[in-house]
Amino acid sequence: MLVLTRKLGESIAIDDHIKIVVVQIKGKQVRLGIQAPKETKIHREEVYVAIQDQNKEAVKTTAAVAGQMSKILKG
Amino acid sequence: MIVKTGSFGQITVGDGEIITIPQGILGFPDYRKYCLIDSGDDTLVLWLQSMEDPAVAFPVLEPKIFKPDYTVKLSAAELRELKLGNINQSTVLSILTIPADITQMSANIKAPIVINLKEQIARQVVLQENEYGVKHPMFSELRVHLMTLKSRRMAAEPREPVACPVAIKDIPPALTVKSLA
Repeated sequence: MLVLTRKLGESIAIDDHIKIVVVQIKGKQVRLGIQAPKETKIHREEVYVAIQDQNKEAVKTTAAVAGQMSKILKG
Repeated sequence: MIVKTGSFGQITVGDGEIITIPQGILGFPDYRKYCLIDSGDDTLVLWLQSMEDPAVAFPVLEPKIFKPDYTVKLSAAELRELKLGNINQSTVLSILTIPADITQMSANIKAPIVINLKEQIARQVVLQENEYGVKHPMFSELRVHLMTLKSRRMAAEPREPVACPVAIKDIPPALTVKSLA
């Protein structure tokens, strides 16, 4: 991983069109401003973790529950 | 080819019934080959079954059924990865979580599976919309939808459910996908 040191107000450019600015530093929190083309998708890492966890939950559906589904949904 | 499944025994899957997910599903990066199985239970819920691990099968459902205003906006990069020149040749499925209390079932509308029906390629896409959650409740909506179908099909003869794979090209396009650009 590339590690860079930045001060408040300084920024990082990624490719030609993405800019990340350190907007505020408060204790253990850093606020970042991100400028990117509209089509760039930006998410907090937690979003990916939540989706991975939910996917793992989804495959746990048991055959017994699946077998009951028709009865409960249509009954 | 013959695919072993956890819930449906052995199923014969043809070339037209295979879906390749080049990047895998989030949390399951090792599996690339899937097929869609209709359990035959008439609930509209299909199963995205890994062809590499019998224990990995995701219940999936077309989100328009429980959320008619749902749209999926894809970036140019996502459209490229899906080889989706024409967005109208795609469909969208939400992964469901179905706990023992089935009335608590939910759909992940934050990260749907988008399928290119012509190329048989799919991708789990993470949407930017903050109002879309990974646990969207939808039991009541699905139930109402199934009731409507039932009343329309007056004399549907009861039949023994038979699980079979779905031909990908025969899935109707969902028109749910929009381009972000």
